[in-house]
Amino acid sequence: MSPEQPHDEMSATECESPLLAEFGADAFTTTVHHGMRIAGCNVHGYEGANFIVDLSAVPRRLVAGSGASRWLAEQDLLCPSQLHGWAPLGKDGVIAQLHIDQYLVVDQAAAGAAPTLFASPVGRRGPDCLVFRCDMVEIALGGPARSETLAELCAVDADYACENWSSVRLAHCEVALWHRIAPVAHTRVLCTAADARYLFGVLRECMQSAHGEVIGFDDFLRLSA
Amino acid sequence: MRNRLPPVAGEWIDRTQTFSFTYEGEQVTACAGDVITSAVMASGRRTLARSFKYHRPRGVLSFANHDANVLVETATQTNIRADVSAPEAGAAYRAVNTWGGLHSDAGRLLGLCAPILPVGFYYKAFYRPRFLFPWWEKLIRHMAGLGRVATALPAVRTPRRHRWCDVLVIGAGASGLAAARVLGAAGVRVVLADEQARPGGSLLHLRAGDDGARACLGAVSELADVSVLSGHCAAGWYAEHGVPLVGADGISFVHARATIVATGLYEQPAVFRNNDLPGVMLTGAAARLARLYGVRPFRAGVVLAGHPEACAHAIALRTLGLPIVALVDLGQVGGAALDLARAAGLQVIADATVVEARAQRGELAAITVRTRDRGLTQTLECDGVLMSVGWAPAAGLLVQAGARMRYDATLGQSVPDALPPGVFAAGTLNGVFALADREADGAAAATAALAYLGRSAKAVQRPGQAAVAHSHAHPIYPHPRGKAFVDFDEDLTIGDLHTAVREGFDSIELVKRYSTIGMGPSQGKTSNMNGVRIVAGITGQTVGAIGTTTPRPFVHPVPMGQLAGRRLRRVWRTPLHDWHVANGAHMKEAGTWLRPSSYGAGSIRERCEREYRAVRDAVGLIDVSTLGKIEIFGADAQALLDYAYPVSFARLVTGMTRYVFMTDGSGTLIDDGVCARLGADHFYVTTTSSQAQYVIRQLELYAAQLALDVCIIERSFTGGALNLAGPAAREVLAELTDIDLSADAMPYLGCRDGEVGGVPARVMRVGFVGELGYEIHVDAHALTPVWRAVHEAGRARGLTPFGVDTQRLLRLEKGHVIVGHDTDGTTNPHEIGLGRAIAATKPRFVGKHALALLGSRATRSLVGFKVYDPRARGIEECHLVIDDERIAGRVTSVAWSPQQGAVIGLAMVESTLATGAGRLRIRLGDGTVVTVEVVPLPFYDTGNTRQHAPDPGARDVT
Repeated sequence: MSPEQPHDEMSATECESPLLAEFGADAFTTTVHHGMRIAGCNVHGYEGANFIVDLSAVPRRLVAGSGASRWLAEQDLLCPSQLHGWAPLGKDGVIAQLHIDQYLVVDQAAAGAAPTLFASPVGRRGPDCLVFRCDMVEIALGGPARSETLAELCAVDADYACENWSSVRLAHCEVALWHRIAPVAHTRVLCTAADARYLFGVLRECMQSAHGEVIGFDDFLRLSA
Repeated sequence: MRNRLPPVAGEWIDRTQTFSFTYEGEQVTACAGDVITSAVMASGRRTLARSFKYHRPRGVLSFANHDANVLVETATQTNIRADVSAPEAGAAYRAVNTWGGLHSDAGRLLGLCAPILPVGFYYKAFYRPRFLFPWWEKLIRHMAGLGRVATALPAVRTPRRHRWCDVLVIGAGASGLAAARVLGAAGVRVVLADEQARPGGSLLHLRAGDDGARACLGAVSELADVSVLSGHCAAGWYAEHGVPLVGADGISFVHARATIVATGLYEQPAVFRNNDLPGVMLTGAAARLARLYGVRPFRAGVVLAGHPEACAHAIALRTLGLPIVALVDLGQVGGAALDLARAAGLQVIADATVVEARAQRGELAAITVRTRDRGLTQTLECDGVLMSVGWAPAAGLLVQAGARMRYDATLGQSVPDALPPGVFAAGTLNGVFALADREADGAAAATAALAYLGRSAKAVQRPGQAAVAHSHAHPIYPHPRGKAFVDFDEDLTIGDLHTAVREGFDSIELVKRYSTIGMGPSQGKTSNMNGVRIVAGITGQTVGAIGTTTPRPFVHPVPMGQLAGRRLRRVWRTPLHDWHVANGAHMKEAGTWLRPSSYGAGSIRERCEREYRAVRDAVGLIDVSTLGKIEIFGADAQALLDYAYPVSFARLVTGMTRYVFMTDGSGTLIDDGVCARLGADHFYVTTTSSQAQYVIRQLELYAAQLALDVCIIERSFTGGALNLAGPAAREVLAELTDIDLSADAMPYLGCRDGEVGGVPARVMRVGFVGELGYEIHVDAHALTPVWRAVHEAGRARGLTPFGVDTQRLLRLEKGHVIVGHDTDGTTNPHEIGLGRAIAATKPRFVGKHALALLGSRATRSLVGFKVYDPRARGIEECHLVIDDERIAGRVTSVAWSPQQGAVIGLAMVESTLATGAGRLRIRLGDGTVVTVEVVPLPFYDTGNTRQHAPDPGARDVT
């Protein structure tokens, strides 16, 4: 897919996933979720036993400052109780405490878990709280093959990581990992956009060598419906 | 397949499935389950390869992957271990290290030169006459080594996985199996690894008919909860019980909480004249070939027996259908065992020594032995000599783990003396030989491991070690005509070790380095023990006193391709990467980042000059998303910055930026960038591309140390940035933003938040390239639309994207340094002219005292230089500045300046040269010296009118 093509139709406020170029135009439809153009469906179909998918369009906010936890509570959002802990948000969203005064809020894939937060503009929220958009890349690995993939690329025991929000090195990249059992068992990988193309390539190679499939955002929503 | 034995139950081959391949051009038929060696030997061949140094014919030695006698290759793969590698149908294999093929190898002529090629000969030759050394070097490089790597082939990408368990059991022989069974029953996570294709160890071949062995092997089926990794060699020991298990499918790096090492023993050869002839092999090799692969390795065999168990092995081999013509007792077998052999019908030659093996057409034809008592010499015609003289512990892993070994003279073997916590040894490694004892020892190790893990387990009585020697004390039989090989990898003989000791290398570690014993692919598995014995004999010391060499990873060679794994190479891409590529960017690696060096057609100089002209005369656009970006806010934000940076922030007002630089505690320059004040308690800092993580870490450290009320947020990867620079930059940007860009409203170093191209943006007016310029920072997702909007808006004014190489030229003309490029790991701010920016009156900041000292002792200075001499085009970065025939500095940046019409550059030189005669002498790569003129900085726009640009279109170039 030429990088020029999607932009021709894009507005200034619309963007595309940093991974979109990794999804061949002949194999995937494109769709727009939350203002981001992203691969939607694998036109060749999929079994869904083992999969890798780009979920970068999921809305994310970084809430920072000494007043961050108080402000989140005012939004009726439950903060994790400890550093590097996490609390579920909606069906498969999460609120993670990254730093003593920084929280990452990741909406559920189908969105709508914290509509007020994600609908409001970013910026200063009172004297001691800042809200940022968090332009990172989110990849989900599903099925048993993900364990083999993580075991190859990460020197942390996945069984341990399952229970936690884990900041680890995966294929030499600093990423956050968390696992969700329901509605579909998968592992989320949150990485920087700078690492995304490289990391996705490595993950795809590992998953495909274990008969994993590349699927689109809409495919994932259907699997987790 | 004329050398196949009748089928036996439990053999590893399937005789109903056959296929063909070629070996040295000759057709070979193999059965499913064969390895290359077994198939080739089954076809009647005994000479399988050539030795490393003298190209002597070689056959099977251990057939257990403990030697490197049989390395083969194909067109695509080299150094294939034929003893353990399955052949592929249709493949064409050949021996490595031959010149003209296995049977007509021209390299065998080197054997004639053996008398003039003693150990260490290369240390004594070739260096005189000196001019001939390159010729020798080329010749030796051509001759040395084993296989040839096919570098033109695509890279192999094998996985390298991590695996976690409670207990790793290495070795699946009797003791390892028993340990795994106990551990599995206790419910802990167990990985059981073994280098053989199937678990069972020596039970599979040396004791295959034994009821006890059958019972023990039957226990394999009880290991349902144990993860069994057969065909995986434990290659080394690393921290925290980390052990890489190397298999054909890649490396599994096992992280275990406790480890049981049940790696057993390596069978050892005897040393006698021509002991390397094809047909002379270890007893275990013959047993494996016959029992597991149905191969008849010889038609008439002689067993050299050095310990009591050798008789049982000889009987077992005969049971398999191998004709044993005699058993030669080397003096330590004992009467009871010999009686057993005689009772089984074996001809026994008691208390004898070996004289030599004899060859016919390069292969074993007979062996001559001599009895000690009567001095009777006998020649036994045979095509197989089976060496059953003793063992050496496979203790490499244990020693790497920190175990201490001691030599037990009674056993004739080293055993573990002290083990590190969480590491346990079991089986023959402990000097336990009886099958029941080996199983009990394995179970005892397992219970000890469980106790170590805090699990309760019923204690098992540890068996005592064997009371008699299972290894011959000195199976070394020198011959006046030599060729008694100690190390088969390196073609080292007894004589070579004598030479080494005679020349003063009397410690075993020195002998190893001088003679290279144990340094070949076998890593001394079949040579070190005999080497120690020989050195002990020469020096008159005991074997225990000589000690052993240090085994280092890898215990077993690991293919480089497997170490490389999937060859992961991380590169960072900016959000604009695809735009750059689609628009003709020439990408280059700048640290971890991939960045455009320049765009479009033409040579690099043409491209840079085109982009340079655009920036100087119109407007250019560069992606600077690689900058580190940090947001700092909170009541103590300024206090943090005042501590972290030597410069002052007291007069930095909201809406303005300033240049900042950071040092460490010793005053060494670490980083630089720009800091914008967004509010009383809110700052935005940029860093160099490579130091963002370091700066973040330091800021967080200082904030914690000083207990500051401040929040530090990294925005390096969630934000993107572009720089619009050139005389027309203001007009281009004005079309896209609601920010007032007039010189009064947005002065030089101003900072404003607003919208650019319809998205929230932060605009900073900075001048790194020496022109009116704006750095535009937006969220990463919005960078591409904003870039495209700016690109489109500037098209009519000649906007041209420019790359890093052009940027470096532009900033060089302006005399701006790049930290890490014009500075090194020792540069301080005084040396690059930043001393006056240090706010020495601040009460405290990192590096304050060091900077005060360095300010008065600066010995180097960064200076600008210019030269019109055409030869100066040859000056490159890092070329040396020479003063009075000594090194007085180095060039840090250099380029051809279109504006100056000269080569310009920066050089870090001794301060005396910076203030001296105004000339530097720079030595080029070819040794010639060019004299350049020291000039004041900057080279371009000395009045800074371009970047200050008070009015649109200002033109005042100096």
